[in-house]
Amino acid sequence: MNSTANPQNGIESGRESRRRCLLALATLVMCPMISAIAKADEASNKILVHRKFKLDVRDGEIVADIKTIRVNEGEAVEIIWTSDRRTELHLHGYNILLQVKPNRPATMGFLAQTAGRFPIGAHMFGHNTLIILEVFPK
Amino acid sequence: MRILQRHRQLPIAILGVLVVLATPATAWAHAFGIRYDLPLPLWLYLGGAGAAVALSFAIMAVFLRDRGNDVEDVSFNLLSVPFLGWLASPVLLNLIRLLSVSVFFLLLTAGLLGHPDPFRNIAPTFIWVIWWVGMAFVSVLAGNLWDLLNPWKIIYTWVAWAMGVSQSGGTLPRTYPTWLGRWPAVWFFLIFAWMELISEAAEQPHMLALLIITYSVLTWTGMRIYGRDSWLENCEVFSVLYGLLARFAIFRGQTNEKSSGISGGKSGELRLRLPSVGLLTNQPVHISGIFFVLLLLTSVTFDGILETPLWAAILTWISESRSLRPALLSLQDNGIELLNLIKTVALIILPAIFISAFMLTAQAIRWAEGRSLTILPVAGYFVLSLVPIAIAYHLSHYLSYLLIAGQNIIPMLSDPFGVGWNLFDTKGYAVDIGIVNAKMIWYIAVSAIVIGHVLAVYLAHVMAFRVFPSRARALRSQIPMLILMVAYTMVSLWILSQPIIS
Repeated sequence: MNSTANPQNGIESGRESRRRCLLALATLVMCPMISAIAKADEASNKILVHRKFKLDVRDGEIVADIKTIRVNEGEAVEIIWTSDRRTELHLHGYNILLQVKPNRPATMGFLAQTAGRFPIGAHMFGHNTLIILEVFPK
Repeated sequence: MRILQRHRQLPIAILGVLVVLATPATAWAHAFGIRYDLPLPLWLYLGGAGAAVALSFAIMAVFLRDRGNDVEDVSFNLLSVPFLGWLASPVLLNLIRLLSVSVFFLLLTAGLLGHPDPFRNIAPTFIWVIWWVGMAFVSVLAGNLWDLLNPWKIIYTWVAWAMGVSQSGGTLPRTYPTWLGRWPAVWFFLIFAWMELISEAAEQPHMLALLIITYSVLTWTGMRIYGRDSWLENCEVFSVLYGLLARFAIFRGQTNEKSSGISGGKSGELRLRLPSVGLLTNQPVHISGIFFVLLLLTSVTFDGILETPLWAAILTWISESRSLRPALLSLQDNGIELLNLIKTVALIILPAIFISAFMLTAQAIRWAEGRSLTILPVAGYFVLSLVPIAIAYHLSHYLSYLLIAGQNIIPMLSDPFGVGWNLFDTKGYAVDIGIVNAKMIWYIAVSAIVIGHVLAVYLAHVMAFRVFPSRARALRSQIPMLILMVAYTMVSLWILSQPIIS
């Protein structure tokens, strides 16, 4: 903004500087308010959504006719596995290994922090994919 | 897959015919490692397709007014900038060459003597992820670095120099027969694509070492007979491939052969240019080159197609077809893996479809503009303009794979032979899958494909103005081309949006 030496401008610049002071003050007051709101928002986002699944493996396959489990990014996932045989389960990507003994439920628990499509395989004969975990982005 | 849910016997039938014979090693159509990408959501797929179509018309409108012909002249030699001159110093170039040859021998040794498990030996990860996928990215972004790094070229040059073998004169090298064109490269590429997309044997370190040795013998013999540069330009499949991809890049490097020795002096030039203008041409591409480009386009989409429900439905249809069953069973009895056989047939049929579609388009172009050229030159002038779409799809399909599976190279560098070393203390490195998440990949994928499409339409227009006698004819000629490109872009987006069936 151009300012030329002018008595009228003296009054203008007085108003101007007051306006600026008020603006600065308002900003200073707003900042903690904004950060408080933001923190409250974060806190509400921090409410963890829990997802639980129960899967039964028989003869190298999941008994129920499900091919995919779908969860959302940021959710806490719990998969409770039972198997008729000794199996080692592998969740790819997240790289979680779980030993399952016959007829004893074992839990695979993790935070789904990365979106994507992750196969869960059984290390029995080679690497058969049992089911796919799909984590959808927010 | 609803068909499978309704008829319970079908899964068992398919299993009986196919899965029993499939190698238990991998359950994925992919060459090595896994991709964690999610399919594109519908709104993004439609949005991308819509944007591609809309922008195509915008480009046509631009060309109604402007010829846009001098895009290739917009270039700048980076080496003329004083402090960048060192980029071309023979010392640096030869150091890079030495590094490349060292890696070559490391991979060969790892393949022959290292651990046979592909996940503990450096060779499969380096070759299939870092090199095969990574070098494509590098070529597209940084230009024809393969020309500098090609170990076969380097070793041949150094050995020939050391042994005093003359590069010309005498009974060897013979002149390369021009009618042969790039057909050798086409055949090599088909074989290589088969190994990458279908065969599971090529994941094994030992097999990779044997393949390297075989290819080296063939390459060096060919170089001896026909001359190093003729062979590189026409038959060395990776030089042809990465050279083609590098035409898209904004960098164009050329080394000056004479000063690549110890004598110093300016070693070439490194030009900066607009993206994709390297794909413009003043000569129509030879028919073997046309086939090479179309084979490249096909192989890039093939992998994605094998993961779609459409492919699963085709397999279902084949496995329950009464007419095919006796033939399939007798082949199976003779020890042939049916799934690989079916995929191999697909690898021949799909290029045939692409080639037919392209030739039909070329014919339609001729018809639209009044037949001033015959079909082969038309095909030869316009085939390169399709490359940006293939590049965009390739980037989208493999980016997360490169960034995630590629991280495995970090622990592998500490223990390349899988014997328990820890040379750089990176053995315990855990791959970070959060490095690029699925949503980011979606946005990159759709943006890349739309941009690739826009560049393709642009290139085709520039070529039309260059090649056809009048402006009106040039514009009319582009309608069939536009239809083909929109179709190709839609197919690419469609594949990315399909639910993934392994």
